[in-house]
Amino acid sequence: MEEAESYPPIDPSNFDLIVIGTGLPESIVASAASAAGKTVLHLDSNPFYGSHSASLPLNDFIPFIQSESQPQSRNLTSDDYVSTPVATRPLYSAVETNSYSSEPTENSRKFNLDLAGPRVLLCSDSMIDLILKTGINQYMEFKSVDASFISSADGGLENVPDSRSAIFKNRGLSLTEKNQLMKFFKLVQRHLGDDETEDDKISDQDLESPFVEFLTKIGLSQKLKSIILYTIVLADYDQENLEACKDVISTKSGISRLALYHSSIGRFPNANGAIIYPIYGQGELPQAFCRRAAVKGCIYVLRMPVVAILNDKDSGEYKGIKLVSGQELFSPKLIIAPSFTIPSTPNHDAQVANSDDVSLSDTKKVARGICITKHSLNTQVANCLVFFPPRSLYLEQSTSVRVLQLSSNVAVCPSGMFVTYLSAMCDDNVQGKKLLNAAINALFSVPISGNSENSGASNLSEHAEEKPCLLWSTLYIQELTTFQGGLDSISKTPMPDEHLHYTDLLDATEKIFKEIYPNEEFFPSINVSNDDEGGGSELDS
Amino acid sequence: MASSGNKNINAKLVLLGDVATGKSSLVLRFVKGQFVEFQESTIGAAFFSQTVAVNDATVKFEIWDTAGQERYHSLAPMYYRGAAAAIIVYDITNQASFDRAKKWVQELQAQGNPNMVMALAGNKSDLLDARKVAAEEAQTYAQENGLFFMETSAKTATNVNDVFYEIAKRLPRLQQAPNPSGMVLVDRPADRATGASCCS
Amino acid sequence: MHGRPRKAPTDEEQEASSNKAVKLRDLQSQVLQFHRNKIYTKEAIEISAKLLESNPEHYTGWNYRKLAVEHLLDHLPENGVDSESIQSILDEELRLVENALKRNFKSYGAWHHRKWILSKGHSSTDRELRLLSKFQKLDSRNFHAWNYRRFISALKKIPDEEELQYTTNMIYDNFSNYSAWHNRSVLLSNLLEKGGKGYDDRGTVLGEEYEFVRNALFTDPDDQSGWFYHLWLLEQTLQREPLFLSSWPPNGSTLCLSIDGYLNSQQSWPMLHFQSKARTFPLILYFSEAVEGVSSSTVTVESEYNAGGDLIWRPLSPKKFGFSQAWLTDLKFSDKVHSLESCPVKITVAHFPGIISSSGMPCSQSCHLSFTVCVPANDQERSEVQTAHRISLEEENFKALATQSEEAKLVHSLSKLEIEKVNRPTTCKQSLETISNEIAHCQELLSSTDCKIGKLTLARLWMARNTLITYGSTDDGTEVHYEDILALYRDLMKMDPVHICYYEDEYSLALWKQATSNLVSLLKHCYQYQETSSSPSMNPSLCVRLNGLSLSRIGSMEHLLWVQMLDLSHNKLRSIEGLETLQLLSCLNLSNNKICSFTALEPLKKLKSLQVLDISNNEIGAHSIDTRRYLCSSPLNHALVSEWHFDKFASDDVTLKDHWDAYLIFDDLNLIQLEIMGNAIVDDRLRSFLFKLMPSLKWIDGESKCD
Repeated sequence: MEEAESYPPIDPSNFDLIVIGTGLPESIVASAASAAGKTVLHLDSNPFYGSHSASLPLNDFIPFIQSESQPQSRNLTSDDYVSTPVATRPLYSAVETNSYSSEPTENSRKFNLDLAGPRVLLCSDSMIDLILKTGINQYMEFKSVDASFISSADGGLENVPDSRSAIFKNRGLSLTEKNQLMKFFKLVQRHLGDDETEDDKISDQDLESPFVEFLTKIGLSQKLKSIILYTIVLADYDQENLEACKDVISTKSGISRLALYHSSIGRFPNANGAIIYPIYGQGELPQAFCRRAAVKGCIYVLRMPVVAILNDKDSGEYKGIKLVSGQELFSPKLIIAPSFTIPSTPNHDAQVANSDDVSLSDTKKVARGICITKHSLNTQVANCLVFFPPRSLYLEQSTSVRVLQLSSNVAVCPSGMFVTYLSAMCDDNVQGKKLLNAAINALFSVPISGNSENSGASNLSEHAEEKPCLLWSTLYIQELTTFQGGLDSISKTPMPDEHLHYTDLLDATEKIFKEIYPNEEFFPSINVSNDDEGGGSELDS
Repeated sequence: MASSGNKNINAKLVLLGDVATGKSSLVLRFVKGQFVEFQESTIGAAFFSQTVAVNDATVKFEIWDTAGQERYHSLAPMYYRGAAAAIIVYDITNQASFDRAKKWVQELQAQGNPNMVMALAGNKSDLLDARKVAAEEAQTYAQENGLFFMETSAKTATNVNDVFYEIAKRLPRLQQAPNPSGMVLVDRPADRATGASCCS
Repeated sequence: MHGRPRKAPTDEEQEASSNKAVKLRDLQSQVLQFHRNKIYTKEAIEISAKLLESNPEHYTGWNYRKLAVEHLLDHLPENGVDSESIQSILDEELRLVENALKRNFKSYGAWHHRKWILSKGHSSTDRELRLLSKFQKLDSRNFHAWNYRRFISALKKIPDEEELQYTTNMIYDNFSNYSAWHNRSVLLSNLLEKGGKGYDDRGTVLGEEYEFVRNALFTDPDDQSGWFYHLWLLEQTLQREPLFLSSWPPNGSTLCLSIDGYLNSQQSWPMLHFQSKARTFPLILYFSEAVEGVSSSTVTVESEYNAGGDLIWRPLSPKKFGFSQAWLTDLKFSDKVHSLESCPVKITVAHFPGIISSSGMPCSQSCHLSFTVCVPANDQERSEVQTAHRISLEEENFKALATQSEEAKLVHSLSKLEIEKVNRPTTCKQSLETISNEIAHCQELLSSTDCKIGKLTLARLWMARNTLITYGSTDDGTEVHYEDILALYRDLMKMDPVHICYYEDEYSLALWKQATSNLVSLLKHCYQYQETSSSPSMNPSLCVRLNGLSLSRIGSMEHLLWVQMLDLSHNKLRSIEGLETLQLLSCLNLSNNKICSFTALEPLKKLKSLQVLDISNNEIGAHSIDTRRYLCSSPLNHALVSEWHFDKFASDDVTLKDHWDAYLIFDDLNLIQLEIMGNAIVDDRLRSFLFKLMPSLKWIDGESKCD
């Protein structure tokens, strides 16, 4: 709507907490703080909610990930405080975009592309529990992800047998494999069951061992191990290569993830499987948390960049912020989004000050990609997950590539099109791109560059039966950051992580909250139905 | 109980309008029949529901309040999603609020669905002495833009229910299945014993 | 709901339920009154609705309502009779049924009422299907809903293929669903019978079904619904025509029919001897399964000297009326037959169609058998009365048969172990392949999972395979070793002690087959019996000994029709069903078994030749209330009452009332020797009763009558 409209000054100017950036962790903290009765001011320099967790129209997507802002020089000075300019640094790199058809960009506004895709929710996830607990389930609608596939040896896609009926229906498993897999699921169930005898429990020794070893021990075939490790338990790194694996999953952890998956199936009566996705994109989550925060009194100001941090002249303590409008606002605590850089201030210990100077070798990265097509990867399903376990695309592939296809029925693209997200952990840009390109080539037919639109059109009709043809694609590398707290009163939230789920991000967010408000409960339980539910009589639908 | 031919309609209704035009008071009056003088800015209520019966249908309104996010033009797209109706509120004693109301109408027309039923409500009609916005002006504007117009007073309850009834009457009877439609998650205790064993 | 623990009701709950009961009784009596007085006012009908909504089990209430509906329909105003008013009356009923079903989803009365309404033809079957879908989402296994679904599909004429697809979808959703599998079997039966497009090749269709259910069996071997369907598939695969297996007199034998048995020289093939004062001998036909329709129109007997008239064939079975594996008729030869003249007899079984098995398969192949009857020289009634000697049945009196001896050859011929393949219809090669395939899969499954129903299926499969091979004319495949089958059943007895009786029975059947269907093993069980103390002129008798084998039931008599002396002692026999076939049996040893009542001996009543019976050391009378006493024919059975002869007893003789069950069994028998000690019920009163009952009886437990 309006750009740089002169807002009325923000009133009051003192808050318990100021949060800069409306990414998901920031929104959750703002919401939790408001729920705990704190006065909160929540700002974002963007004209939209969600920051790095947002869902954007197509034409806004690339500009966002390529944006970075320089520290401002005007309006910096402050009378009473030391004013330190803030800036953002780019957390995305190696952005590569290919457009083979004008159709997507012509319908830009009908897209809601996740910046941090692919991402889904398991029905029994802690995020879902939080959504229910806070009541924001009333703001959102979800749809089931119809199926999960794993790439098979011959290059095709096979359904993941993740439940009893899926095992029964599956055409790719041998009869013995079906028997083994079901037996394994029952074994896990018995182990976790309350009233089972000691015999049913898995030994402690086994629990500590790597999951892959346990699976081998009980005699599961290679195929079954792959399915369990990479499509249900969602391991990133090659588990067979134990020395090189950066994240070996223990049996205990594997079993609890398996249990989480199974308890997700059937949790909600209308959900077909274990996995759901919010309609309109993952960007709905930050919006929902922000709304809840607003309901509890949090003040929201979009399009309001922060130009400087104000520190006390003597103690050097954080005191407040300065807006681009020149207004100064104060709070005892501050939360900032991950892309912010705060150059070290003179009175601070070098160590504590700028933890952004992290040695590069510790930097973890995730390669992300988005593809737009006109045909589904599988004619039977609209929304699905696809997994490429390590070594399935090429021998040196050391991490799993995850793919999520969504259709217009979750309102992320125009009718008739499909959006596919890809991601994989990587050490560097080259490796990351290689991983994603291998997956893209396996799934899609890439028009030869140079004949963009024409060939695109003719290709579409020819390849309708085979691999879907790309209309548009982008690849980029996102840096992963960790939560940094304890920088006095300033805490920095993490970037969206490399996982398909939100569990780790939620844990980190809760930790942030606990650090700044150790005595407050993280969303105290309230009556789930909103406080002031109307008094009207309700009819059965 | 239900005679044949009676339709049940669910409708999401959003309120728009400047700060302090009395949006929340309107809703409060409609839903709870209450009016609180000097009501502080809305805190704590984001959702109301109320059912009205009109001739041939029973309409259950799900009324969304802005929760203050309109103050700095920070309403999220989530707010508008799937809204079947909207009430744009201005304060008849405040010309600026009327101007702003027009901007809200434009915003709605850009974001909302084309079949949305829109009502323009000139609130605080009890403060006749302080009137700054002429009813005719508002009426004309409404007519030109496909809205209907009423002056209301949450304090005296004038026309409050009428606005909602009028909306209810204008809602399309044939409820299109919302497109796209999904499921709303409902928290059920672990009650998954469907198909409980019978002589297994 | 099943599987929920009961909790003692609290005081409040009890009070609430007794209040409810009072209200209910009140409603019930009101409705009954309306019903009796044929009151069908609006108020009365509403009260009945209240009753049925709270107690859908009230049958009379539903009947009342049906009458009320009829009444209303009849009394519609002349010009108001249109489908809408009829509809509203019926809709009201449907609404009532829905409410009643909400209360009790499984109420027979409610469902029936709904069917009744639907049969009137005015209601929407589409709506019913939607309702059914809703119900089946809530509980996909409710058989009422499935039953109703079949009813609606028939009404709506939904093609079976569509319904089959519906069951497929339900099974894909959750394969642990008996009703869906069952419906599948019903639909497939229809489709296969009609033989329409895609269903004309039975073998292929069944093959696909085997593949389908195999996924369920392997995915969750403990889920029984798949196994039950598999069993049905097996039955479909094994379905075959009943076969005529064996007879007595055996094919190719020469029967020497004499009045006086003393001149019996040792039997040797082909000469067999039979004593009959009346010159009649039994002709027994034995089939592969129970059949009916054996009569003079389906079996022809041609011979010169048959004393005319149509033959009466009787089924030799205590059970299923009219169906039996063994059929008997008596052939009488007139006195006109001169000595040593041989008289050929030719029998054609299934000469005309009419013999049908209990599963409806006809015996279509006709078979011939022939034997010769002759009369010995100097055949006349002996004037001296023979002294019968008591048989001691001591172990030392038994002598095993040498393999090449005459007796061995006799046994060989008698037991007809050379099955004439000419007469046999070909075994469907496909069936054999299917069974072999299933065996392989079953073994694969059992290699990784120890599953009892899997083992049972494997045992059944092996038995079926043996049967197919034995009765087929193709020589494919070797018979499975019975030892493996027996081992499986022993495993099952340990794994699943709850069903041990069933496993013991199946084990016995397999063991019996092992013992009797092969010459080598049969010979092992054949012995010569000769009393050491008796006179040398008494020829040794041939005795088949199947003792000490843990048998709990009698098996196939196919190869044993000729047996005269049978030792079944030291087994676990609870019942002796099947023995009635052995019409030639004269000496039977059942000592040391588990027979617990006289009525369990019912099959013996048909054995007219039985003279020596040993039932010592059983459990007759061990339990004061033996429920199995009543498993046999009831004394009130009309068929039996007419056979009671009370003339031997004074009308007020107490012992008859006390020993009615012994009376029923022994009245028909002409025993000479009986051993009954070691049974709880035995006392002197019983012994004297038995002496009185059977005039021919000489010894009970070694004591003669006079003692």
